[in-house]
Amino acid sequence: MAKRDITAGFLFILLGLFVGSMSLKLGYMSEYGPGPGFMPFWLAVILIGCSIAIIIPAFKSLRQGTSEPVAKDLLLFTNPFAVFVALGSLFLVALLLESAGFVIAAAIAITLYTRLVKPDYHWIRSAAFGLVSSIIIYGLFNYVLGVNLPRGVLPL
Amino acid sequence: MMVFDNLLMGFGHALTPEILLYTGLGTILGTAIGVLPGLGPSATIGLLLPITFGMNPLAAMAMLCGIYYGAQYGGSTTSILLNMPGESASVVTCLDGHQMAKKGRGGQALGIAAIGSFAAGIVGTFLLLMLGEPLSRAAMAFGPAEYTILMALGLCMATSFGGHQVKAVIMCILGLLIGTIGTDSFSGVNRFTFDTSYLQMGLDLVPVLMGLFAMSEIVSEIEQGIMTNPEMLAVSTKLRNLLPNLDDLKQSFGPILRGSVGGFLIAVLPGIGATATSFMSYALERKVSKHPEKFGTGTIEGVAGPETANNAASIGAMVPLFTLGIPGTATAAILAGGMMMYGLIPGPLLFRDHPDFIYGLICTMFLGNVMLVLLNLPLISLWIKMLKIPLHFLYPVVIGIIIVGGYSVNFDPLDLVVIGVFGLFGYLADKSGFPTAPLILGFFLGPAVEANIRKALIVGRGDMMIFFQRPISLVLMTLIVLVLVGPTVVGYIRRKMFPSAAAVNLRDVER
Repeated sequence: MAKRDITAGFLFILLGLFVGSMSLKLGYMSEYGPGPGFMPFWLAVILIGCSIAIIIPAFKSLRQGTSEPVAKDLLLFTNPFAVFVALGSLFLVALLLESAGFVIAAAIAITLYTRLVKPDYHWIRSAAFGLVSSIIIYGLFNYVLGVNLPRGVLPL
Repeated sequence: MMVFDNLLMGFGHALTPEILLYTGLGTILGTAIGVLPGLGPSATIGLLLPITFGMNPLAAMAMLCGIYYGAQYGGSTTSILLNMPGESASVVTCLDGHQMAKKGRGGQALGIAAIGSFAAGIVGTFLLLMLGEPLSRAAMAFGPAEYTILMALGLCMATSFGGHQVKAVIMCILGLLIGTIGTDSFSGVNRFTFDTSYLQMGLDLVPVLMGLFAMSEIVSEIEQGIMTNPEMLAVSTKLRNLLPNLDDLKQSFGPILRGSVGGFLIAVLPGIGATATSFMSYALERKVSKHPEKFGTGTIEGVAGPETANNAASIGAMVPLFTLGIPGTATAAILAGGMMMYGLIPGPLLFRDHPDFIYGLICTMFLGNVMLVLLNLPLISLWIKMLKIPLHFLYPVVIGIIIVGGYSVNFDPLDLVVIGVFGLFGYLADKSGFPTAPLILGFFLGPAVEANIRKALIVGRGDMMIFFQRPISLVLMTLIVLVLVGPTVVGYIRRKMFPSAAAVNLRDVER
């Protein structure tokens, strides 16, 4: 866990430096008092301070060999393909939603998720489940709850 | 007399078919998501928020609040039957509840959880009714400096309970920073927008929390491949087998009373949510018990106290939100976001300007708790059956709902990208021990904190002493110091008293 704390700490320091420099450009003070950069500047300072506060003990525990091993369920990207598909399908939906319509975009996402969750489920069954559930969700939200979802290419 | 009049007015608004329907729907939905693993109340309320835009604000809030306190009840079912809390506030119920189920007393454990939740709901609603207006009147005397310190206190408290404090502060700072994205309301300058029109209005609360809570949880579950329905202990679902006997009721009377009042009063302090409150209740019951050694072996007081306290806390958490406009928990922040979308600004003016709404809402909480006990005990077999729904059907459907919820906030597909980005961030943060709830609180309170700091400094002509000049500020500052030291003490007590609780998932405390 110590290595992960160090990595996170350094990333947050970089973010703090970026925000700090940007906020000074925005203007720390204005004619009437604190400027638009005032709050982000101090937040960046605290962020850098806190990041250092997690890096130092992590370094110490690494050097002393007392760093706790990462628990099995906390391991990162043990199945990177699943993470990639799970998040990637959402970006795909964002891309397709307005052109292809909700039913097609959601059906693709639900099919991919069904396959991810139950890999032994056949593609055709997953696709059928995806299509049926996206049509039901579309009907429920569009016609019952009045949420206007994009129709796209389908004549719904 | 005034309280009585307000109560009558509230019931006048709450006792309509539409409000009753949505209150009932909220409690049933809340219980269901409390029972089902995965989505917590925060994520569910966030998912449903966009579809409530066109609804009557009272009906929408009655439903969303019903989800919140219904989930506290539902979470106990899986804690007792599976030793797996459906909701983080029910973690401590596993200790004695599951042991009771193993001894064949699961029905009584479920029954006392329902009775305790009901008592907490009634006592909590009554206290909210009594405290709401006087507190909101007192809050009207607050200036920008006092408000700034009060919000800082809320944020400090939110970072103090549930895990690594420095990591929680980092997440809170990140939330505050995300809150600064967009056009600055004082100067009109664009901040961190990178010349994109999408970011000019700032990020919306709903996609951020859907990503942080719902998406990250789903990604994490899918990655771990835990998609088999767990085995549960058999329990008789006949109503008479769920009712505790006279001896059980006698033993539970004290814990229920202490849990109702104590749980509510502790949760009034911003930042202390239902999870921390249930742990405190368990510690208290063990301390006052004549047989503390029996705790952890299936004693009914170990279920009655925490289950009462977590429900009382879910109502107590509404006090800072309704009276000061400061949400104490992530879920309260989402509810506050919802109220703002309906054109109701949470805070002291709510009681003065919208008494029909606020007293109506308080009365729906009362009615919702009655519905919870009336519906849930007879429906216990239904909740148990729900645990058998194959998870490979559940999660993909939740994704479909996330797509609808995310898109319908602004009808902009870019909100789905925000969900994905925060889903990844939430996944990484969760695995690295960074709690996500403080980020949501920081994000929600960020614009108000900044506006009040800047107003106070303008009034004080740039002098920082404006934050220390009034007695109330000094009291609040003292509380901040106590809050920053307090977690060390609480952490010590928790480690000493609950070594076995470590076996249960505590990572997502206070989601």
